[in-house]
Amino acid sequence: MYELQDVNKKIKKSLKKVGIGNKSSGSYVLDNENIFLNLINERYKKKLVITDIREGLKKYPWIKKYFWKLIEKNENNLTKKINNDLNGGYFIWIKKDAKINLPISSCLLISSDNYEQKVHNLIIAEEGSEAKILTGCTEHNYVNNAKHIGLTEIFLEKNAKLNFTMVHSWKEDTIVRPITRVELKEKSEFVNNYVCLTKVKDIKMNPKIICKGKNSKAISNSIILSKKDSSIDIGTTIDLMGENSNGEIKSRVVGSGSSKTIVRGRLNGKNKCKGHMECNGILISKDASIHAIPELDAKNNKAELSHEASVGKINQKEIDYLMTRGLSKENATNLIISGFINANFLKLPKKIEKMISLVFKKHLNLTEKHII
Amino acid sequence: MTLLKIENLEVKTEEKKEILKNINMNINSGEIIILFGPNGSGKTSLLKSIIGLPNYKKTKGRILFNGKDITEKKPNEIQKEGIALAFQNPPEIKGVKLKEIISIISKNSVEAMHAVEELKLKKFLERDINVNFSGGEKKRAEILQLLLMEPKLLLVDEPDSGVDIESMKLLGKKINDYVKKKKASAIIITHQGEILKHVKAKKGYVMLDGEIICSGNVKKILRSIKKNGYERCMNCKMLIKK
Repeated sequence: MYELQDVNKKIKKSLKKVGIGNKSSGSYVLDNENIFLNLINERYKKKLVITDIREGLKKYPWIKKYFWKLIEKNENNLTKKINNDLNGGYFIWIKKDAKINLPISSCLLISSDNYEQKVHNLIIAEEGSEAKILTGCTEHNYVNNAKHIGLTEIFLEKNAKLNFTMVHSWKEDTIVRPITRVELKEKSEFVNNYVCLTKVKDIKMNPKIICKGKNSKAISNSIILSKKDSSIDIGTTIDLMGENSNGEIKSRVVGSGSSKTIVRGRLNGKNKCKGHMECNGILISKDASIHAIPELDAKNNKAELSHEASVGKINQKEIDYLMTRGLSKENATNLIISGFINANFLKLPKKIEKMISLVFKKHLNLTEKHII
Repeated sequence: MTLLKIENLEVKTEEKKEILKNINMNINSGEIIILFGPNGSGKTSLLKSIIGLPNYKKTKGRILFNGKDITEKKPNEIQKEGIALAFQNPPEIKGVKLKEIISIISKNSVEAMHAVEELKLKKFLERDINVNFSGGEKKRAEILQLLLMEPKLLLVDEPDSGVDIESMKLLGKKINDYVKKKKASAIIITHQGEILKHVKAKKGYVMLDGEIICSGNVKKILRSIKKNGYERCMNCKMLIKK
């Protein structure tokens, strides 16, 4: 087990914001465009490659067939920007049948004002491999007006299993544009978890997961705490193309302050498949808004797709009940909200759950000004 | 010594619907009171008004507890004064585990675990409170919380409805033992009076249309209700009015 001993205090503090600690099978940290850390635990050196994408393309030319495969370079302004001026990104290669028990961690950091970070990440999980990745995107506390544009292409080969947990921790003046595309081959399983508990100026993201192979399975969970005047537009699209493919989208959103949150979900049933979507939102202030847009699109009569959605304020009966147990209104509300968006909902691997539990503890302490 | 005194209490809902009127009640330390009345007569509203739930607006009268006016206090403040309520239909709270609430309310963790085992709730500790609990399990969880709050006055809303005989015996015994040991008082709502086999209560009240219409020996009242229903109470009330 290695320690992140080479990392200075400033970086450590930022890594902590997204739950990244010491115990990883490998780590990649990008600070603006500089590779700050790129380490692999000795135990996993034969099973795992983690490197900067620019290095990866030179060292492993075969990965070019995966690079820009799931999205066109000219798809939109963001992809054009990444293609024209790449600042880095990780390449993670989990080799055939490798079982990586410790989480792989990555952190994309921004360290200067007005910086627009453009990254392109590539993950290849080979046949029969199993791994969990915790990736955090954040900036140092002193950074102002940053913009993060991150493209991630993920490939799961036959029977591969990958848990991909992304924690965002931004500031109120940051603009964030992640683009994620995932392709699943036969019997592979992908779990996508997204957590954002801090205020942010503007996030727009809608990862697309393509269940291409027979019996492939995708689960996408999001936990969002929208604060102050944050504008958040997040969603997941799952294309169920393989026979007996399975997709599940779940989101829990709490809207506070004057935040505006749009939660999208789309299941495209293109074969005999099953898909379910759940979106639950709680509004805890009179000026916040949550707009749930669940979409089901079945193009095969053997597709079974369903959804349920609810948005509203906290049930007064729950607050009353907890107040009769001696809790103030504020504490009762906090307890209900932390139950509503707790880490258990994500069904995280134990080690990652432990890593991000502190992030939850820190941000789920709402004060009277959030609750109206 | 009077523990709870209710004087001329009138309560309306937020929608200004009158739900309680002319409520006068005295409860002494160590006394168990039984509240009878048909559905919708105001029994639950009375308990919820005493504990200070916000949808029960007190428009007249006052409530004194230990001589202190608690009429305008919030539920958490009233709980801290020493009053606790076991709900008839407690809400389900997703993501909040029974053990979290127990750790918040209990003063002694060893005693709390003992009570958890006695009420056969150990395997429910990790479960979200009341979510997919059966009727009997909800009642046991309510009585557990009630006792762990160590109140001077217990408000117990229908502990005997939807509960099997064994559980009712257990719940009744727990309530009775607590009242005896702590010299506490209790107001218990019951329809069938089954709980009376397990708690020592002398005085009963009958409520109709948001009012207390009679009080007296609990056994006599129960016998009369079982024999004549509330029909006779209604007639009786009419006679009083005349």
